[in-house]
Parts: sequence; structure tokens; C-alpha cells
Amino acid sequence: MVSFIDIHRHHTQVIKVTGSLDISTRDELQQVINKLREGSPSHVILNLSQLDFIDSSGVGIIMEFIYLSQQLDFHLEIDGVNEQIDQWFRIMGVYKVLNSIRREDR
Amino acid sequence: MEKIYCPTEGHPSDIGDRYQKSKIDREIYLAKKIQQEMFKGFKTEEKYGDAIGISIPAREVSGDYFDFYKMPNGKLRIIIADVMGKGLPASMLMIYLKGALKSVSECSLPPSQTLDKVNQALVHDLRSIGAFITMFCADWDPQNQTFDYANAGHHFPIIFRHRTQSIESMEAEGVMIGGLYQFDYPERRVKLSKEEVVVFYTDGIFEAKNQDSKRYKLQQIKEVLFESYHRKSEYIRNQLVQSIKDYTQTSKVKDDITFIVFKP
Repeated sequence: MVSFIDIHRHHTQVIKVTGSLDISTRDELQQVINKLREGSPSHVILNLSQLDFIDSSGVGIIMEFIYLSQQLDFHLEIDGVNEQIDQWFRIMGVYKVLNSIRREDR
Repeated sequence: MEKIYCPTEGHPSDIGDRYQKSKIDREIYLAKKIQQEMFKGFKTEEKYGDAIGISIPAREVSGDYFDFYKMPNGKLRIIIADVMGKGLPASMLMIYLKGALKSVSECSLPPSQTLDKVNQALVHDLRSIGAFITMFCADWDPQNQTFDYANAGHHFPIIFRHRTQSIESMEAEGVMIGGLYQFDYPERRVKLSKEEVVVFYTDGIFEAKNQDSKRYKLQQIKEVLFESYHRKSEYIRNQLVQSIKDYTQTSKVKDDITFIVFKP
């Protein structure tokens, strides 16, 4: 499940993902993306502390957020990733893509 | 002319829908047959070692891919890849990957450059549809008994070391195909000896759950290797598949599962 939990001052938005992230979460993602487009935040925190499982489609959703950060020009932070998912992200190169896009935007 | 409505065959619009569905079913069936042919009969020559693979689709067709190429430089190339998602869309991308790989492998480029070329060939299309592919490319040199390998975001294969009776990973950092427009894939080398085993796999194994909803873990693969490392690769492969079936208590899988077993 993907949902907004809070909107802070200074144009920071927090998106919390709970349970599983897979193909069934796509519709929820679209709603979140629409909200991001409307809100034009400068900083987005993707909180994954309550994410239990992610499959390759779920990683695809994370990648969409990363590319969106470039498109909408906001700083994306991925936070609270558990040890196993963190290891998967490292193996797949998710953080490398995120860092590369941040460098390009500087 | 009077139209006759036959209740047993449904309303005329239902018949149209059913005709359409049966047409789609038939096309999926044909796609499945094509994919089965692609995976059928992979058996390498003895001089290259003892290598075998299997791919089990979660649906009719799979987004997993594995292949063996006899390289012009005398090496055996082993490829394992996993296309994001499942089913027909993933299987279409898998065929696309196969075409790109075939042309690159004919040039005898090393694994790192192969990944770079494949990425360059596919990245624009993959980015435009929001997809990616993880892929591991390893070249076995039968003369020197070494693997040169590079990794595009795929799970690390595992090696069973006979002398120390231990397990290690073929680690290599990288980025998934389609992740970045440009990435320099580092290349690694590992030496193997007889009675050692390498298992390549896709992440579908981690979607297999037991009756208590606990997921299959790498530990299960390690247990199979400790028990059967001295056997032929075909036996080890069958034991790996059986270990998933025993764990889940079913023959159906939730995600595509692929194993390659290699022995020098």
C-alpha cells in the first residue's frame, strides 16, 4: 500500500509504503504521482520502514519515483529500508541510479 | 433472416467475447510453445564442464531467461536474466533481450562490455515503458578453469567450495539493464576446481512460501549443495526444484523461477 502520511512545511512530502510493493500497488502509485505533480514539492521522503516484501514490479515502482524526482525536480530520499530490502537495492543498483540522477541535477 | 438465441451457448455478445478469449488463449499457448523450444535441449559439451538450466514460469510464459553460448574464443558464456514483472509482457521483453545478446555474444566481447552493449541497445526502450532487466554474464574458460563475470543488478550466484565445504557468493556490483544510460560494469574473476558447484538463480525463489507463510531462503539451496555437490549437475538441479516443491507443498510457483547449475 502506498499513501501520503504527512505534508510538512518547506515543501517536503512524506510517502509511506506498508506491506508489500508489487504490481497490485500500481493504481495507488498513480494517485500518489498525481498528488506529487499537483503539490510540486522540493523534497520527498519515501519511507519504507514498514515495507515487508518487494518484488521486481515493486522495484519498478521505486525506479519510477527516482525518475520522477528528475522530471519534477525534487530531492528524493529513501528512508527506513530493512536490511534485506536494502541488500536487494544495493545488488540491483537502485541507489546508484538515485545518486547518479542527483549528480546530474547538480 | 431470423437470429436464433441459444441459451446453452450464451448471448451473441458473450459468444464474441468467448471467441476473442479463445483466440487470445491460443496465442498465449503458441507463445508458451515458442518459449519452451527456446529453453529445450540446453546441454553443453563435456569440454566446457557440466552445465544445465531450468526455467519454471509462474504463468503461461516467463520473464526469466537463461542461455549458454559457445564463444568464438573457446569460452562458454552463461547468462541468467530476469525481466521486471511476469507473464506475457515480461516474456516479450525476454525475447527482445535474447536478440540483443545473441548479436553481442558473437563478437566475443568480455562480460563487462557485453552488459554495456546490451544496456546501450535496450535502455531507451526500457526507460520509455518503465521496465528493467537484471542480468548476470559469466564466461567460463575451460583452459584456466576460471569464470570472468559482470553483473547488471542480478542476485549473486553461489559457489560451493569443496575443499573448505563452504559457500561463497560471486559478488559484483552493477546497475540493472535500463537503469542508467551509461554505466561502467566492473569485471571479476574466480577460479574453480573439480567437485565445486556454481548455482545461478532468479529471485522468484524468494516468493515461494511454506505453509506458515515463511519465504524460501538461500539456506535451502545451501543445504541441497551440501548434500549433493558430488553428483551431476542434472541431479543437483532436480534436487533444487524438488526443494522448492517440498517447501511450498505445491507444484505451482508464484513467480518465475530459474536455476542454472554448473560444475567444472
